[in-house]
Amino acid sequence: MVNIKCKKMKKRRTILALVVLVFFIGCANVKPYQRAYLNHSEMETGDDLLEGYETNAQNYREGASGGSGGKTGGGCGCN
Amino acid sequence: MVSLSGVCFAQTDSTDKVDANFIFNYYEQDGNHSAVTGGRGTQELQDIAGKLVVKVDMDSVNTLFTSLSINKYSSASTDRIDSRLSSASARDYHMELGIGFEKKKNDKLSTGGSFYGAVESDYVSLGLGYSLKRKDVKRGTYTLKIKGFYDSWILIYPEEIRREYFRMAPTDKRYSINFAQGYSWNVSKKMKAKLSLDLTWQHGMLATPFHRVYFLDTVAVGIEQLPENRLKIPVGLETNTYLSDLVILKSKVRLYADNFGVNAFTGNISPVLLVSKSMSLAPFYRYHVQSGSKYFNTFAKNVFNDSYYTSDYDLSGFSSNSFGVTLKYNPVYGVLGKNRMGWKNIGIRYSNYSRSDGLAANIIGLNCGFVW
Repeated sequence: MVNIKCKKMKKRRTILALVVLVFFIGCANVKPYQRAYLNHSEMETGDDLLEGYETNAQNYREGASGGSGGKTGGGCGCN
Repeated sequence: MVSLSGVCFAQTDSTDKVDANFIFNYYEQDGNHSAVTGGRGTQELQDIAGKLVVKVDMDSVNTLFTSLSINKYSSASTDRIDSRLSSASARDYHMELGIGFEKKKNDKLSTGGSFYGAVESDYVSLGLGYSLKRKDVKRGTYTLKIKGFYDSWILIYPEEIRREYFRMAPTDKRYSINFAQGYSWNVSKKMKAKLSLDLTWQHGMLATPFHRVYFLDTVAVGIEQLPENRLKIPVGLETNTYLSDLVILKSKVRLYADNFGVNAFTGNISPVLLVSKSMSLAPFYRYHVQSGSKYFNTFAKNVFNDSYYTSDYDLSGFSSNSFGVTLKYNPVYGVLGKNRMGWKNIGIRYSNYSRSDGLAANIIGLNCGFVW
């Protein structure tokens, strides 16, 4: 019972740390003429076409899926 | 076994109407914990996949997209569903078709819908999707994708229990719904970030009917039994940073939890080397660690009277490492020069994957992009 409570506390602390990290990253209002670096094709977020297959393969071979693209549920004969 | 779903978009010039990508992948794996034989036995498998993704700008506000993929795979483990080996490893095909559209309501808002279908020898899947993208110049971009799937299985049981087993699968249907939210924003002039929060709920046939299970307390053979409801919650954070004029650093972190007891952490890092204006080289490394499902037990360690049990090592506790490299060539005047054939870019990717339980895999990918 104590172990389950400890595990739940650890999970909550980890999620809280992630949320705090996001806020510390910050946010900037970048004007269009200042986006030379941000507009580079390699700066796009998310999986590109070459990574999609590999992401799906990882989702099939691991119990975890989602949060970074790929099949997250349904549409496949997999867990 | 493995195929792509969903559609991705490549950047195009404003005058280009059709954007097409041909993607080829080869996958091979091997291990010694096949779920078909109760957590012990070969996991050798090869998969060859081809996919065509096409995006068509109908006008300034409407975009149509479609994708078609075909996989041919051979699997040594699925050849052991029957005790009599046929000949070479079992072969199967998987085909997928996706069709969708996106409409710009105004400068800030786009919405879309999609239809999806897939077929393999033992299941059929149909899906519908809705997407929303809201762009705020100052604050960032919010995206929401909702997908629902209806899967229908042909229940194939291991040969020895087809007529005598008392706990057959409760249903041959599976329903899934996925909410994928993303928020991306500019952290600075040289850094972008994206936060992802998904929620997936599945109901119905979540076990695989031909996965055998052996027990600690009886010689009887069973099949995998899993709850009929599963809730998955992954949270991800991605950052892309221009470290210098020659290097962009990409990193991802993901946390995952579900009601099967699987909790996971995944981290990726990739420094993209801008070799020239048209070529980039990106080595990468990925680390994944997960706790095993509370229903998992190794070979012959399950308890007969338990409600749920599995010996599928994909649901066990393990860590994995992946490393590899991606090479992309995207010259201004096309791969062949003077925009010949509309061949705009080419990319190649190799990845090696290894799990702590002994499963190892290699993946090679090739993408050719065209614009007309």
